[in-house]
Amino acid sequence: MHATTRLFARPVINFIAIATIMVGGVIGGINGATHEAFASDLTSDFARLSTEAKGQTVYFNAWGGDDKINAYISWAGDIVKQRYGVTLRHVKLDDTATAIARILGEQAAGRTEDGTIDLVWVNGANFAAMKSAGLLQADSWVQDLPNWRYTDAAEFPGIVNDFAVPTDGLESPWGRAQLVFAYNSAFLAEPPRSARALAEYIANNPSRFTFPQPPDFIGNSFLKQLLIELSTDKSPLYQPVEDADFDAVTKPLWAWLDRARPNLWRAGAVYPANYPALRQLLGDGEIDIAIAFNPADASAAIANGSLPNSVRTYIHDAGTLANVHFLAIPFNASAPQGAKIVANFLLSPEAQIHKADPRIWGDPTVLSQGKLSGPDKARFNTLPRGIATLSESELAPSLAEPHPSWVNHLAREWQRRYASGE
Amino acid sequence: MPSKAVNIARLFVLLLFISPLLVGLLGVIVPAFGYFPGLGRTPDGPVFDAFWQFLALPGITKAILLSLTTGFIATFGSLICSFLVLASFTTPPARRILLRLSGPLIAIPHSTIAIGILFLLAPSGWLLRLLSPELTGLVRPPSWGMVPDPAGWGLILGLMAKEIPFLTLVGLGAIATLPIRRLQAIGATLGYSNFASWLFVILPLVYRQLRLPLAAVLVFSLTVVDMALILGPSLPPPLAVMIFQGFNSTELLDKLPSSAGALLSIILVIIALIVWRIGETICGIGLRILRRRGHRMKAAPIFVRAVAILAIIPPICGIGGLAAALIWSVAGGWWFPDAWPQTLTMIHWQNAAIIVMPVINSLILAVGSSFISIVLALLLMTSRAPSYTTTKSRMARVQHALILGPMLIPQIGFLFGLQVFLSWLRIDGSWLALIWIHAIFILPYSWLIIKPAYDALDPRMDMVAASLRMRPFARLMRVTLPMLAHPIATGFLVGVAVSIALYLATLFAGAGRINTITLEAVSLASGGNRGLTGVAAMLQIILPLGCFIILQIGLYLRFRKFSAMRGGDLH
Repeated sequence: MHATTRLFARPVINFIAIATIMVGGVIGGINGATHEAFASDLTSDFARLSTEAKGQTVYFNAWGGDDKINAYISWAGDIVKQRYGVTLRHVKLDDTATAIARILGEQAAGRTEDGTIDLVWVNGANFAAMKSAGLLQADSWVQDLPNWRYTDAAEFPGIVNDFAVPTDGLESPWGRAQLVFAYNSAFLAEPPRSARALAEYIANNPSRFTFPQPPDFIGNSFLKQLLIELSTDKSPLYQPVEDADFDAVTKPLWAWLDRARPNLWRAGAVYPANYPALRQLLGDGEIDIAIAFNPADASAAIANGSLPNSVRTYIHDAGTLANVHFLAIPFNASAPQGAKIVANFLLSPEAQIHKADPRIWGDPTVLSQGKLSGPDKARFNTLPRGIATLSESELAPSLAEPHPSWVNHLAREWQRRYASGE
Repeated sequence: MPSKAVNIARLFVLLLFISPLLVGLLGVIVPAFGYFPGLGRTPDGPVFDAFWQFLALPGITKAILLSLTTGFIATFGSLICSFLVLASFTTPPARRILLRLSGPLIAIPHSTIAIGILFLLAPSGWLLRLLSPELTGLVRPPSWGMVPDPAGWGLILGLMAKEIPFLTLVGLGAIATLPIRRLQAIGATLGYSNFASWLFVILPLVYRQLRLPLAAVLVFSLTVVDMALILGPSLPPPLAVMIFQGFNSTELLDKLPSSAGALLSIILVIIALIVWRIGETICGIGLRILRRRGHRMKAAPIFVRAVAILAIIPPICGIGGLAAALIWSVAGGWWFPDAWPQTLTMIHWQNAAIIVMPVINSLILAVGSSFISIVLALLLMTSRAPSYTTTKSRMARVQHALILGPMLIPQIGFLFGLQVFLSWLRIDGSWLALIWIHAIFILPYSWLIIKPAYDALDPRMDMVAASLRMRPFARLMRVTLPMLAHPIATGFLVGVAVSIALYLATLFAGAGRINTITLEAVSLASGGNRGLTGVAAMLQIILPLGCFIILQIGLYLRFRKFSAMRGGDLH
């Protein structure tokens, strides 16, 4: 009985196994075939796109306050020129809002084509504003980029949900970011690892802390970070601000800032304009702690001599804000094909590896390790981590961005309270 | 004598040339009163909401006061300082030195000086690095600081560093037309010290010629944006910066209150000019009373020399700042309180490859727009005989006002309207638009520099040439223009300097597509790496000075055989 069962069982198992393999193989084959067909479709689409894009000039409106980033964009420009005949012009913005305002102006003036902006570096509130005002391309385009296949939305949900707003394929992911604090270990042995500890630190060490002046991107982010940490009930922050009792929800934030202000750098009467200016203050020793939205920024700054090598980074125990930044094409772009070529190149393993190098920029990739080829994976893994960069596990505690409607309200309220200089 | 048709044609060309300015003004006035069809705002009559909205912005009162105090203090301070400098450099050789020193200084863009002062006087700037820790005991930068400061003193210093050399240079020009020695000799025989003669007699005569440049300085100081972005406070910023930020807001409806703000800034400037005029009258009365008292002021000269040293502090800060920028452009790691960088490096200059395009753009723009505005100025001048008399026809006055307008209207007041206009013509961000706009801003300078020289030409030269049967065009090309070579060259250089320094106009008309070294430098100064900012500041200086040297050499080679034209000095 035992033996028969065995005798009987084995062929059955074998059969099942073989059948499974065969069926699986067939399905897999079909799967492979469709994938191939899809890929060749993509390739021919891309070939057509490249032909159309050849000779175009892409005006890429991107924040231009950091020369590492500017140099990276210039590197990418040389390559797309060489390979695709697309000229990339970096229009350096002080504030991305300027570009959005320009596109809005063109929309209001009825300029539905031949616009002055072809590609813009956005995320969060600016993307939400562009999407709701119809300033983006009409059709989803990102999934059609050949290099989209290296991404995995299951691994990084943020690449299809920008501050919880679905991207709908209207912006191509470019990099990931997380808020980190940098401190000079020569002056500060143990940094404060929470909003409350930071408040104590500021009270005990006058004029050694500040943040970029809202509505600067990092300044706004710092307000959001504080608000999340100080709120006991965080759920209203993930709903539209109009649905929340703004005054009640934000009360702890203003209390924190009111208490900190007299002891901020320059007694809170002057604020640095943006994070490179803040980083400069850390480098000069004017302040002890700075904020950046890139875990590798401090290492990169040490490498190029803007920060002393005693600088290290840390995050708050409760976690810090994390998000993804993107590239979008306005509805009236003059060179949408060229813009797609550029977005595709910037999404390539080659460009993403170069960008992740802390000696170049140090911006974390949006590509999925599981989707990369062996050599590319190896290239990512052999990149230096940087002397001041935290490990992936140390960076694990992260906070989701609040609903994008919060940020403008926070910035406006901050201005109303503190911008009169009284 | 020119016919009426020529007069009208001349006026038409001029109006067409400055039409972007006029349309730009209109494009600000209309939305200020609530009319903006692009946004669905089409009220039946003027609405004043935009004004109330603007005046309700947080910190607006402080911003207006800040603009007024920085503008007036900088202008008045520059005037006093340049008078002190002029009064202490009395001999002709001393004046020549002064001329040589102030000339290059006025060619340096405002934003460059601002970057330098920031590098020198910030709490972690070069000055404190030089003095620390030996003299100050500081091992870390102090928490107090000169720039940027909430009261705007850094901005005032920056403005004075630029305007003192400018007013001094104009003052030297005015002095050259006066019989200074004779006036002082008469004073001396009556027992007045040189300073007393200077104060009572010469100063009022010089001042008369400084009126227009002073008005330009006042308007500029009240509404400056690029310098204020670098040196000024930000909480709140001066009025012009606040308007500028409003125009850049993502909220499209913010453009209405900003337009109202732009209009208010023009009104503010007009009021300021009237107040200045009243102050001028009061000072005149005061001086007259003082003169009647008959003070001989024997002790004054030493005192004046002592104070004059203070008067050159702002320009010295400017020059010191440029030195600081130069050092930073080659600095490796440089940490407070080291007086000098630990290592020197050329890395920033090598990285400057990414700002080569803006440098080329600046050069094309500067040369193109200067050339156009000089050709236009010459066209306007030479289509009429030199005016040997000082009385002017009404037509000439209108023309004069139209030419000088761009110098006296605050840029923030009309550039948004101009942007809309250019966008409507689909020429925003084009070379055509940018060269045109730059030329509008250069024309007043070309005019003011070349016109007096043209009027002073000896008419007999032209008559001799005519009697030798030269045709009018040949006389213009072969007699008149060569004699004007020096003022034309000066006008060209000033035009290049003005164009390279233009920030706001380039930003608005260039649509971000044509980037210049000044746009690059201002944006780097707000936070970029100091090394690269230093390189950008140096490039901002090299461009105008390079043109200066090339033209000097060219003029020398061309005119070395003509003794009367070999003056060497560019006017």
